[in-house]
Amino acid sequence: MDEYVGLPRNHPESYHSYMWNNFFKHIDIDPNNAHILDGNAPDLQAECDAFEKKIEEAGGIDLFVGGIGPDGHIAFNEPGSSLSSRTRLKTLAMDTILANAKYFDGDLSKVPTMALTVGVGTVMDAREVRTHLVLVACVFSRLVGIDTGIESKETFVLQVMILITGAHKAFALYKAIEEGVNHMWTVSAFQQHPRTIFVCDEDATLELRVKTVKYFKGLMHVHNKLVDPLYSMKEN
Amino acid sequence: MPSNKSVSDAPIVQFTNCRILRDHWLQREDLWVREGKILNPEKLFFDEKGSADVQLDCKGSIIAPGFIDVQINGGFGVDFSLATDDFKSGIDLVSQKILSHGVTSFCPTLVTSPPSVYHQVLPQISVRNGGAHGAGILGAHLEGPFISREKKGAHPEHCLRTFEAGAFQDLLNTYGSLDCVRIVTLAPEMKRSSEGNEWRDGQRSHTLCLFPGHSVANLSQAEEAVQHGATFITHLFNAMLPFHHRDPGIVGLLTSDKIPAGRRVFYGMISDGIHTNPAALRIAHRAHPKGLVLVTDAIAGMGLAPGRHTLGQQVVEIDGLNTYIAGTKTLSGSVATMDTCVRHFQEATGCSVETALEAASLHPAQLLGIEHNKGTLNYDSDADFLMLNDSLYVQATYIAGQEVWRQDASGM
Repeated sequence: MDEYVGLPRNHPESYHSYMWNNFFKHIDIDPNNAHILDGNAPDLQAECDAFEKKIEEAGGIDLFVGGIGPDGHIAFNEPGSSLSSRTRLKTLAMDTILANAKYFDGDLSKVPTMALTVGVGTVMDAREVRTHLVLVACVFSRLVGIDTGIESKETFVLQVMILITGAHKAFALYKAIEEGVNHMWTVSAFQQHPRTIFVCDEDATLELRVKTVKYFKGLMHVHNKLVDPLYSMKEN
Repeated sequence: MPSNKSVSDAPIVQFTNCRILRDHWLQREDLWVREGKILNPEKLFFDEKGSADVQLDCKGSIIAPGFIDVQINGGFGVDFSLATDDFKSGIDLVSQKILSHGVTSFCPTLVTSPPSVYHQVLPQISVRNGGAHGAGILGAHLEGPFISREKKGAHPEHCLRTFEAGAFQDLLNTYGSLDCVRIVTLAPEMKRSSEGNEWRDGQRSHTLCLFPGHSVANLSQAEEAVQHGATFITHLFNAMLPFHHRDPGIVGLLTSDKIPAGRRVFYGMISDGIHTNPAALRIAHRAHPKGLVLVTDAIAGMGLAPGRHTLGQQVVEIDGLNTYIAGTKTLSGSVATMDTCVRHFQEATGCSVETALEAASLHPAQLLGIEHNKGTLNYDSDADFLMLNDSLYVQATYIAGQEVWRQDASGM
């Protein structure tokens, strides 16, 4: 879903490297089906427009997987991004640069200050999907489009899955789901998406109301009862 | 697997389920090879949208760069210092047999011999790539005859020479052609020996290296040799003055502070357990671990049954792992194989597997200045590598990405 601008593609911190090392090299995907924004393209806006076009040509996104930043951003849609934005060039917020510094030897001057990113609007798009593009991102704000040619049973609605772990993301999660939809916490836009899953660990729920956490945990219990009557019998 | 779509139609082989030695540690990674070179799979994926044509399961083996032996005098009955009629087939035999020891490149070594031997033998040695026919030849190593009388070791005294008469011209006359010669071991304390460096510097493209060995040089003379370009000590401890705390001699180069910046002094070690006491091996290793180069200094008897064999103009006797000049207790070469040396080195020093493997691959490549091509598994270097088990026994040898030797099931 994003890539730094100006960072060499083979730099160990580029998202191309990240996707290769953590995902692509472990699976047998056809390289033609992997699309990552090129942060070194001669015309960056054209690169972004082409990316939007590729998504459209593939018939839309079936599954979007991502994480959130401590400032509640999704991809690099920093606080203040328009909620109807499309793939474009963004300047990174100081929060993000500070969070990334640890990957660049703690040297702030080495951290890229700009990135190409899908927009909030790009992800919120729900349209009829006629072909079977599965757009799978990896965790922690990296998105890539992959066409696996899998038959998708859900042909119309985009599925969004956000993964949030760790206490440092707790406040952002609170802002994302317990407060209103707000362009200062862009991931909150997903409250308005018909199919969104937020996957969290305990630490990430530290800033939520006890009532909220209990509610969602309670859902699991009901779910288990529905899927496995034997299980619920064992519980009793 | 879909085949690659790229500028090259050559097949891509992916070695999986292995641990490769890269960046000085054994990593769980796949090794990709195309057209005899190590391939960068990330570049292949993103730039060429390519993928492997063949995947080989290495069953958990270690993959290391092929070993490079810069000092080997012969083996399997072949003596590189003997000008026989079938010399060429002899060198071919050795280069083929040492594949099973994990050696993918070597420098055939000639001990001190009369000029006639050099004139006959050297033209028959040619620098060539390795392959199914055998390990690659990087160039000849001429050990002597310009060495010290007091430290001749097993070299025949009557063939020793000095530079007094004609300086470096003498050397050229003795050897004849220097075209295929990579290394010359000589005693740096000999008068006029430094003129060799001027000669070498005058030759634009020659890659000749002049190394101190078989010498009674003190530390300053050795340091001077280093300042003039020497980068290797031929078999450390052997055939040189012993370490003394007020004049460390050549051994002192390991920790000398007069080495020019950016240069490193390498030193050969014959780690067969005989040429050097393991404690001495450990001292050298701990003093200067990055300079240690494993060599076999193997002689014709290597790979053969114990008994008498030749070493140039001398007769040597093999008794187990010991080889002496017949009738004496003077060590003369060894019958150790390179993989035995690697294992012994690892055991004696307790060093890591990576260190042991690099002493036989990366360090000799750095010594000869060929590490961009050989001695590593870096992208774009030659795909000369070995598959080893955890005890560092060679299971298979590859040159330019082709399997050239494999341990068969019976363990032969």
